[in-house]
Amino acid sequence: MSTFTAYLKKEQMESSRQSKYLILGAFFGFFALSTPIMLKLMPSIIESQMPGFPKELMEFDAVYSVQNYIKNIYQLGNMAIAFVLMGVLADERLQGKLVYPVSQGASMAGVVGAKLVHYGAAVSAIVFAGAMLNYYYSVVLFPGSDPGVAAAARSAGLLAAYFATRVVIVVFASALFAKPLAAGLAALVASYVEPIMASLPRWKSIVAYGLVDAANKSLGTGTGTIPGAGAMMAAGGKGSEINGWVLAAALAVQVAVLVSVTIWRMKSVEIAPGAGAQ
Amino acid sequence: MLNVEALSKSYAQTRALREVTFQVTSGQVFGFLGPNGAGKTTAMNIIAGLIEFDSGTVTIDGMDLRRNRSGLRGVVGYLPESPAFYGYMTAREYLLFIGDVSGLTPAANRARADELLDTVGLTEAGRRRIGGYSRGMKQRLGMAAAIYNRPRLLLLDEPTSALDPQGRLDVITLVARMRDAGMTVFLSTHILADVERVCDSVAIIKDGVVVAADSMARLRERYIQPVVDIVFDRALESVPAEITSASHVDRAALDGDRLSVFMRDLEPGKRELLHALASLDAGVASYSVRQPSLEDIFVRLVNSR
Ligand SMILES: Nc1ncnc2c1ncn2[C@@H]1O[C@H](COP(=O)(O)OP(=O)(O)O)[C@@H](O)[C@H]1O
Ligand SMILES: [Mg+2]
Repeated sequence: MSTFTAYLKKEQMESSRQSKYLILGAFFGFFALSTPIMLKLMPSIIESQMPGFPKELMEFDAVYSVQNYIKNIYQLGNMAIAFVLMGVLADERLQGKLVYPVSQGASMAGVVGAKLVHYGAAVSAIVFAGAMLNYYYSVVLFPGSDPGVAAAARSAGLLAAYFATRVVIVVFASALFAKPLAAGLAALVASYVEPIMASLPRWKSIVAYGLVDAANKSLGTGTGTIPGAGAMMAAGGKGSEINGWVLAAALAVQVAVLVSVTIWRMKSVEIAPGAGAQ
Repeated sequence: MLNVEALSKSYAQTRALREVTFQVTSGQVFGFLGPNGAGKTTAMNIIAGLIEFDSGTVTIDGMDLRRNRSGLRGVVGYLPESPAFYGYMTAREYLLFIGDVSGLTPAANRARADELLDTVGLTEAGRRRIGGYSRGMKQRLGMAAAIYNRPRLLLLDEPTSALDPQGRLDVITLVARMRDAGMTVFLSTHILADVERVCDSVAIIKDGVVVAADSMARLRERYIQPVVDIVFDRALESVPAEITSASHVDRAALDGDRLSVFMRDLEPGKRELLHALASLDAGVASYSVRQPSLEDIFVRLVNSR
């Protein structure tokens, strides 16, 4: 327990002094603001590029704007989290930073647990705040079809939960791979492969991507079309339904397995300096 | 205090330790001396419980390392070769973090941090971030972190190697103070002067094999044969019988007017030798006792393999 609280404190200090909160906050905040603005400007941009393009196809509502943000942040947010957190365990063991704590009796479960809880909470809070900010600007910029604060908060909560599972994936990869970059890329590949799995019948209810899908659906169906885009939303709008309980249970099992393997891996791997890549 | 028996450890390519055996008695500074790549760090990491080993036994304070992993935490303090800290913390914050990990109460933790910053001379610098520290300052902070929980056995891996002469002296002085405070210190180094300055016992390791392990005094006795160099005022034809027949003389080698007498035992031998010399008809131009240093033993042992 003393390891857990000591590392919780340490991660807070590290994140604020290395501006990790600031980087993630600025990243999610920037896209929360810029995505609806881009969408608002879209008609005039397309107008100037393709004069005579039917304007009726480019009328968006607030729900569509929020769903557009979810689609974008799913891709971009995964990158941000993978690259900010990829060294979370790899750096510690590669640079021998665990030697003192471990030789003073630190427990690996405490170290891993503190990192998961800290980054899980930080990322969830930032994602939630970003999504609510986006909802606010979407309603301001696109009148009509306001999903309501409750639906927006529910959607934001599901999105936050999704990114919390990404923290688990990145931390897991960071324990598995000695090189931080390899860990980051592996976590990204895993996250980008999930939508393909989710497109299989019933799989949507057992992979974390189902949370993104649910975040989308909980807003209702938006209207609007962008040439060449919106395919995801079309798929999300119809098709198989997600069973919330099944999804929650499936994710709980996955997280438990990943966390156990992470701790086991950190316990068995050599953390002494000079014990190189393997 | 520390008992290492037939300890072996192999990496994919190298046999880093081969049946390494030595004992460290409580309250002494034990030097682990060997050239680079001899296996010192490997042995340290094993004793600190950080890496596994293939065979042999390590006993610390009567507890088997394999069976008492958790029980030994806190008994052993370890200063790695290049200690790694969190550069964004100050030295004081880092020590407090170590105290947090080991579950000290906040008040006890603060008191201990300040006490140790003072011990290692970092009271002022302790408020600055570690990222800007010199090697010597990091080494001293490492020492403070290693002894934070008052370990009974302190492992120091090449604590002086990267330091300038002043930094080295500071560390050696600290080591002597740790011993005086009742700690047992196991110190690895490739620098002989360090061993001569502070160690009570020494094990010499080469390519994973211990080639000698004994107290400094006995090592000197056993491996350093005192030699008396005598220069006569003229060349001799043969080694005088008076000298070879002396009971404390091992052998003698003559080269013109120069005679090297290898002694079995220097103190009584010296008197006997002087008597023998007085009875010769050749005059003695110079007489000197050569007391070889640890360096001679080291070079001899390491090169004999
Ligand atoms: N993690 C490792 N993997 C492979 N070989 C290693 C590893 N660590 C050390 N060695 C090898 O083991 C031998 C002993 O190394 P080491 O214990 O570091 O020596 P020293 O500390 O005396 O310089 C060397 O030949 C070194 O190359
Ligand atoms: Mg070494």
